[in-house]
Amino acid sequence: MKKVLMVALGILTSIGGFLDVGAIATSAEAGAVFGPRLLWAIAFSTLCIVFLVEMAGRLAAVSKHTLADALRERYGWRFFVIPFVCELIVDLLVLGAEIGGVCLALQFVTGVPFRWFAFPVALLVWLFIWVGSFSLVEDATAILGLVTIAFVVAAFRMKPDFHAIAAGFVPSLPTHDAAHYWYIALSIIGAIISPYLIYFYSAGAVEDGWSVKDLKVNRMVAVIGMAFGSLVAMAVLIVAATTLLPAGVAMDRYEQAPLMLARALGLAGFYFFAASLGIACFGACVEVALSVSYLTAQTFGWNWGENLAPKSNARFAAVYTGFLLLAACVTLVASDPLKLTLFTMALTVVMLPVLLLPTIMLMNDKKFLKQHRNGWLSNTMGVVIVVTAIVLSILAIPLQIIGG
Amino acid sequence: MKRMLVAILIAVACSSPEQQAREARDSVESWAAAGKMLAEEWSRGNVSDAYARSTAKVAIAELQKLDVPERDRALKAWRELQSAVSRNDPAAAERAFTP
Amino acid sequence: MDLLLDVLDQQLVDKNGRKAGKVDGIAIELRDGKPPRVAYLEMGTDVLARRISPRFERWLQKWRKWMAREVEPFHVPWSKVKKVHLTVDADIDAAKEPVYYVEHWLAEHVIGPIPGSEIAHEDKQR
Repeated sequence: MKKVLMVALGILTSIGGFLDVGAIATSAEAGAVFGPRLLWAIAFSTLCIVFLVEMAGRLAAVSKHTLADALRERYGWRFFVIPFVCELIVDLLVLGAEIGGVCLALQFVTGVPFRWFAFPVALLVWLFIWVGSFSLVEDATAILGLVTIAFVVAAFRMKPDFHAIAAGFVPSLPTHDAAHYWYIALSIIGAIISPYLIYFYSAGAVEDGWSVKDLKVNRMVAVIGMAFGSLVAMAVLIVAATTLLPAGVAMDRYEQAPLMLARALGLAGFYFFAASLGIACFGACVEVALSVSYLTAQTFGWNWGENLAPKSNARFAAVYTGFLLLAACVTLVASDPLKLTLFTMALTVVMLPVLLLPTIMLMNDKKFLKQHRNGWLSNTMGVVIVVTAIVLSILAIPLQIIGG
Repeated sequence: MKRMLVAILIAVACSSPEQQAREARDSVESWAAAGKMLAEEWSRGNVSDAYARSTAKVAIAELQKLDVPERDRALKAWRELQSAVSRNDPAAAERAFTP
Repeated sequence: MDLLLDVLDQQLVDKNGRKAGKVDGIAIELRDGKPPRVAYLEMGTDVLARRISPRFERWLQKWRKWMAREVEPFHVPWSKVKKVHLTVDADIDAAKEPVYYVEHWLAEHVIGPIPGSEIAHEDKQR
């Protein structure tokens, strides 16, 4: 029974971590501009993140080391400082974008421009981390995250063309706006393969005290949880394809997005959109902020833990406090949360090889993983992930200019 | 890194005026479509008044930034929608985007 | 034991089981006519900066001088190291050493004064 509960909660957590401002924005834009043709990008990146999350969980369960600990200990400071700094930069922008997402949800409901909410939202996220325990953080974002199922309901209600949807899972060349097509495909991949999620998951597994016994649970959580999050992202794409695309709305700004659920489900749909965006982004804010604290503490070998009193863990608490403050400033100066989100996703893609290659290499290390090293399947997928990451990272900057 | 930055700057500087105008026209079209959709959903009571008001404000500000002749009609329609929302007049809102 | 693989960059743990930073550097003593031996482990931002580039270390020291702040280097004599296996365990009390300077300063001046800073969470057992 305990195991069932653990799997259930783990799955819900992954949904909370999977769906965020980037996944919603890129899926909606893909659907609004290209219909169901980019579904393959969501499917492909889901496959990648399933493998990456499973690896991070396995590393934690077998070696009791978080990913950041293991990377520094195995490859040394001189190497690890590069992914560490890259990750901090990406996380700052991601956190700024996620805060922007919560602010937009509040703007949709209250009509007050999003900027006014930047600092109150950051304060609320901070308070949640300060007061809440790790399981509260997990459970609350997970259970509230269920509102995003509204997208799945809407996708079925709009009676989409299932042949076109099936065809969307096969990568195809675009008929128009090729640069924009690839730019959105790349943004989807950057939005779904979020490195912060991998670091957060690995720290959570160590914090929850996973052991070799939990490897099966880890695999189930990774597969089912990510697949479920992915299902919602696909639903967002399909709803956008069946509402925004026929109307000719191309998602120039996030403000146009709530119209899709309003058309599909009426006034309730409008509020479901605001709630989904707000809760998904709030959950992501908490996870990114904590992820930065974990990463920093583990890199420098401090004591860490979300459940310790902040005072006996002052550096850990200071990092998320300061980082939230900085990120709120990013939200405040960004011209538009959607642009910030898309830019952040492209930047994530640029940095993916640096962040992922050492992880995949580490998963073959005897000292850390003993007999639980990567098998042929994980290693094949690892090669696919790294090669894709390198190709995308080279393409990201030119595409950002001509397609963005 | 420096070389990359220079390359980016050159590419940005070279994006042609025709391309910029085309992008601006696309954006105007999309905003006009969004206005029509908003007007329909608002008059059916499918979105809140606060959302309609704040979105109209954003749309008008965005359209004013686009420097193409096509934007004037869209801008006028959005202003009509804005005033219809403030008067709570669904019929006028629907009329704003029907030529 | 391989100094570079098993000691450098590994987690240092003090006698109370508290994490005391990662081993940032190792100082080796060269002796006339005898084999060299490990003198002490060193830790701190200076060492980390030096490992990236000596230039960084000079900048850091200039900045420190300008801020008029002296930082004691933190050395762990090799004789205090008790065990090297996955972690490096040393017979020291980290809380009394310079590695905890920033932690104490933050606890006292920044984090401590905020209400609720002393509450730990009793997590429900899973």
